[in-house]
Amino acid sequence: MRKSRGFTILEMMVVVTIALVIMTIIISVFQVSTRTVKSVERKLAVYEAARNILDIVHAQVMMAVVNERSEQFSIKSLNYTNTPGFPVKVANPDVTARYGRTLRREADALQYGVLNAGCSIWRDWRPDLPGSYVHAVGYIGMYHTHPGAYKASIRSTLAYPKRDDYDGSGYIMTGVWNVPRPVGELREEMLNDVTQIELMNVLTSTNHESWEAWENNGMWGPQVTPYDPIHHFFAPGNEPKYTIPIYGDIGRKNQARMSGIKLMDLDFAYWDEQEKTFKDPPDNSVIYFAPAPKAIRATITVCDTERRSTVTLSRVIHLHIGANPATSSWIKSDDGDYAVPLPSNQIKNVLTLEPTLTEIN
Amino acid sequence: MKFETVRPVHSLSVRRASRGLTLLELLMAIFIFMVGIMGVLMALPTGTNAASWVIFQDAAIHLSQSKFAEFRRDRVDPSVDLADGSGYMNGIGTTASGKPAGKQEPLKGNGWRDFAHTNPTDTYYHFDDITRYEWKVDQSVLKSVGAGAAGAPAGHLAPQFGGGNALDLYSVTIVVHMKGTTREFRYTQYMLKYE
Repeated sequence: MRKSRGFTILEMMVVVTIALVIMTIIISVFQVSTRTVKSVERKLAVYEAARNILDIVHAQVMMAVVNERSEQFSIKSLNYTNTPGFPVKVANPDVTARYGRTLRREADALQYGVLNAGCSIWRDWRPDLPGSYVHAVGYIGMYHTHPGAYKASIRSTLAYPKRDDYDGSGYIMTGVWNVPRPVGELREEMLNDVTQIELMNVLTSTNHESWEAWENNGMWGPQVTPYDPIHHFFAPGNEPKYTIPIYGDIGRKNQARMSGIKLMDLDFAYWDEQEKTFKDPPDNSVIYFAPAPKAIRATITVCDTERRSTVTLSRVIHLHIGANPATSSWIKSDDGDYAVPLPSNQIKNVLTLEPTLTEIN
Repeated sequence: MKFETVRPVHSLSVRRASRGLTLLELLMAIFIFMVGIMGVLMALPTGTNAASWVIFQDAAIHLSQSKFAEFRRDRVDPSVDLADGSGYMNGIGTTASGKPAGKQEPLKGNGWRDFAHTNPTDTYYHFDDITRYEWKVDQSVLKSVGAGAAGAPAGHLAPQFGGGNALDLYSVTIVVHMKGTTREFRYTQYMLKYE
C-alpha cells in the first residue's frame, strides 16, 4: 500500500491562489450580472403595470357615449407637489418635466357616460340582463333597479382619494362608524409616499339608487325609491366628484381601484386640430367638451414596489364620439359664469368649482 | 451459553489507505467547477435578453396602437393616405381628400420613421426611451380586403344597391423596430376608408 503524503505547503499556496483569483473574477461577474437582471426585472415589472393601466384606460374610454347634447366628456387637469425623496430629492429644474422624475404629480380625471344595464348583487355581470357587462375597473353598484346608463369618472386617487373601506382599507376610516378621514389627510399621505396613488373608476347610475340597508326580511333593500335622472343629469357640473362615503351600501361600492399598481402620474391631453398637437388643459382647470375631441392622449408614470424604477408611457386614443376640432376658435377662455350647467368648450377653474381638491391636512 | 465474535466481512483494516489529491487532480476539479459557474453566468444574459424583448413588445404595443389611433383620428383613406409617397405620410397635415390631419414623421433614408419627440409639444416627447424606436407602415402588405359582394343575379333584388362594390376595407400593418437590432414588432388591424 502506497503511503499517503498529502499536499506540500507550496502546492496548497498555488491552489489557494488560483482558487482565490477565479472566485474573485466570478464574484465580480456574478454581481454585475445580478444587478443587470434585477434592473431589467424591475423595468419589466413597471412596463407590465403601465400596459395594464393603459389597456384599462383605453378600454374604458372606448365605452364612452354622449347624449343628444354631447354631454358629457370632460377633462380635469390637476397637479400636486410630492414630498422630496422619491422619485427625486429636489425639484427638477427642467420646466418641461411634467412626469416621472420630478416632484410634480399629475392627477387628472376624465368624465364620460357609459351604457350599462346594471349588475348582480355581487357587482358582476348579469347574463340574464341584456345590456349588462363588467367594466375593466369599477363596480356598477346597482342591482335593485336597472338603469340605462351611468356617469363614469376615471381618475387618480390623488385628486379624489377613495373614501370607504369596502375592500378593508382600514387606513381610510377614522375609527368612528361611517366617518372617513378628511380627504386632505389622505392626499397628504399620498404626497409623502407616491406609491399609494392609484387608478380609480367611479360609476354613478341614472336611477339614483342612492343607498340600501339590511331589512327585516333578511335582505338588503333600497331605502329610497329610485327615480328618474335629475334634470341635466349629464350636464357639465353634474359629473361624479367625491364619492359618497359609506352610506347604506351603494355609495361605497360604486368605485374601484386598481390596487397594487403604483400610479404616480395620470394625465389626459386633447387633440387640437389647428395646432396639430395634443394639448393639456391649463393647470387646475376643467374643460367640458361638446362634442368630444377627436382623440386624447393618456400619459402615465408607474413605479415598482421598491420605489427604485419608474416608467412614463403614453397612448393616443381615438374617440368614436369625437368630432371637436378643439381649436382656439372652439375652446374659449373663462367668462366667469359658474352657474350649473356650465358652458361647454370653455376653460373653467376646477378649484373654484371644487375647492376641496386643494386640501392637504 | 457461548457467544462467538462475528467478524465483519469488510473490515476497516482492509480498505486502501487514502492518499489525497494531486495538484493536477485539484486543478482539473477547479477547471470543471469554473466551467459550471461559467455555464450559470451564461444563462443570465438569456433571461435578461428575454425580458428586454418583452419590454420592447410592451412599448411597441402602445406605439402601434397610438399610430392606428392617429390614422383614425385623421380619417385617412388607407389605400391613398398610408402609401409612403402620400402627402399625409410626408407631413403636409391634411389627407388626400383635404381633411385636416396630424403631421406624420418623415421617412428616413433607412426606410423607417422616428416617433415625434424633439419638442415638448410632440406627441411622443414624454414616452420613455422613445429614441430607441422607429416605425413604418408595411407597404408590401397594405392591401384591400375583399372586393365586395358579386353583382346580384338577374331577377334578384338583393343586394339593394348592386354588388361588386369595393368594401373599402384594408389590412394595415405597422412595424415597430428597435434601432440597432433586428427586433421588429408587427401589429395588424383592419381599417375602413373614412367617408
